[in-house]
Amino acid sequence: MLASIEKTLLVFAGVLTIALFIIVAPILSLYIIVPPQEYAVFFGSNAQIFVVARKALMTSITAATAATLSLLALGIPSAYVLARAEFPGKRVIEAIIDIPLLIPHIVVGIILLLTFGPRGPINLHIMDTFNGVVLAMMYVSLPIMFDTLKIGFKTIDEELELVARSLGASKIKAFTTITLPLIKRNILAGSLLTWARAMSEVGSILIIAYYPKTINIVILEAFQTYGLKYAAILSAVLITISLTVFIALRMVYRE
Amino acid sequence: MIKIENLHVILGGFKLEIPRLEVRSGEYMVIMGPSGVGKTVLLHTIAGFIRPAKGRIVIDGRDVTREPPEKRGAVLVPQNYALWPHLSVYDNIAYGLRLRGISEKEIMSRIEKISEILGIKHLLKRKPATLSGGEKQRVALARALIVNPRILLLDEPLSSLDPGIRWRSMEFLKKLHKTLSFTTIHVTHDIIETMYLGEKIGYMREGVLIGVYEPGEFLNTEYAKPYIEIISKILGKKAYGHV
Ligand SMILES: Nc1ncnc2c1ncn2[C@@H]1O[C@H](COP(=O)(O)OP(=O)(O)OP(=O)(O)O)[C@@H](O)[C@H]1O
Ligand SMILES: [Mg+2]
Repeated sequence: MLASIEKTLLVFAGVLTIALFIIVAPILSLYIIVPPQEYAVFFGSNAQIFVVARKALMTSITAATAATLSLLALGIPSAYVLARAEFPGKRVIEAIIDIPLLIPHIVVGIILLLTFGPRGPINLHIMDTFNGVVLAMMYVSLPIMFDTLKIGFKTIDEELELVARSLGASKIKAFTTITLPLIKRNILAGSLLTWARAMSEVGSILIIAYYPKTINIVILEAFQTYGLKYAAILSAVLITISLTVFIALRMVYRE
Repeated sequence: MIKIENLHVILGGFKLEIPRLEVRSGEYMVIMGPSGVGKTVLLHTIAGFIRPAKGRIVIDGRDVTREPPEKRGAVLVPQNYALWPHLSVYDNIAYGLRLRGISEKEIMSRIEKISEILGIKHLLKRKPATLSGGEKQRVALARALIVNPRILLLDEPLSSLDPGIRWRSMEFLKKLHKTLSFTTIHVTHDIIETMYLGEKIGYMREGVLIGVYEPGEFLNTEYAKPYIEIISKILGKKAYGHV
């Protein structure tokens, strides 16, 4: 009996290994293909493509950060209501929040443009603007932020807040001194995943805001014009930055 | 002192009714009732987390029925004690005083005093997760008592403790009340706790507070009868065994 269980586990572990290989192999080969000195070229070269790429990288980072902070500000109150209150239509609202996960990203770009573009009913000046980039990033990563925060709030026993209230804390005071610190990990995880999702967005940005160019657009252009030559080094830089942020936050998160 | 008049609470299909309840200053009231009878709902309503459909709650002469929880001075100690895991024991206890803008120096001396009384001086630096059940209970009591609540609401304060420590804890609560004489409503389903601690005893059935009794009086009610019978059976058997 035990032997057969172990055999099963062994097979599962084999499957896990294959999955890991599929994830890690492309990243490793990128690092093997792009020699270390190329990174210096990226940050130092005055060649047109690198100048454009550096600027685009900054645009991507600032837009992804802005999208993450905005979603945090929207997500904290919204997720709290969804975690704590029972009201008719709650299931529907929860389903609506997950809709962005279902829509192809090119289509996201199109519907955002139709609604908030220059000819849409609400013109938010998103066409080829930084705000357009941020809006596109927010739309596609909203479910990640909201759901991660909601899970966090749900794990907090409500009596922890009630005691604070009975000791004299207003609702908002109890929220900021008890509830928020207790979901610190979810706030960090949600922000990290949201930021990563925002950084990797390209489909909807392609439609809404080709300019100011974001790094993914530059990589796409480089690939279409020069093949893998420049695309590889740009990709390596982007992956390195994302991995660094990821690992740094994971370390903080663990304390 | 707390006075409740004609209180009705409706929660989905559940109805709570408290025709009349009065707890005098310094009095230890125990309200007994089986699981699901509405004991927690009653405490949450007094604390202000649940809005009653009807009735009045008066604390120290002030009608608080429409006041938010933070203005009532009714401090809750939940069944699981609900210590805040991200704060040290010291910061847990200091929380209520900090809200009141009391100086850190004053807070330190008050915490010293209360932790002496409760025997938790050696725990102040620890995080709640590292405490035993009995220690958690004392910290929760310290956190509540340090703000001098107008009324202390104890939700089954002994039922999450191991049987061995439960009896000691019961004695401890009694002594503590003698020392500090806080006004208390303690809810429980346990007859021994009720008889040992209650200066007045309330009995609830199916969401209704049936009556409030003196301990001696309560023993003669039909509600105490089944318990008394079991206890006399145990005692009888024991006596028999010794013959
Ligand atoms: N928010 C709510 N909505 C609907 N019903 C509720 C709500 N809160 C409590 N109830 C119901 O009210 C009744 C009383 O619950 P309560 O928790 O007060 O019982 P209790 O006497 O404290 O029981 P226990 O000894 O198990 O703690 C239960 O039937 C419970 O399901
Ligand atoms: Mg209860």
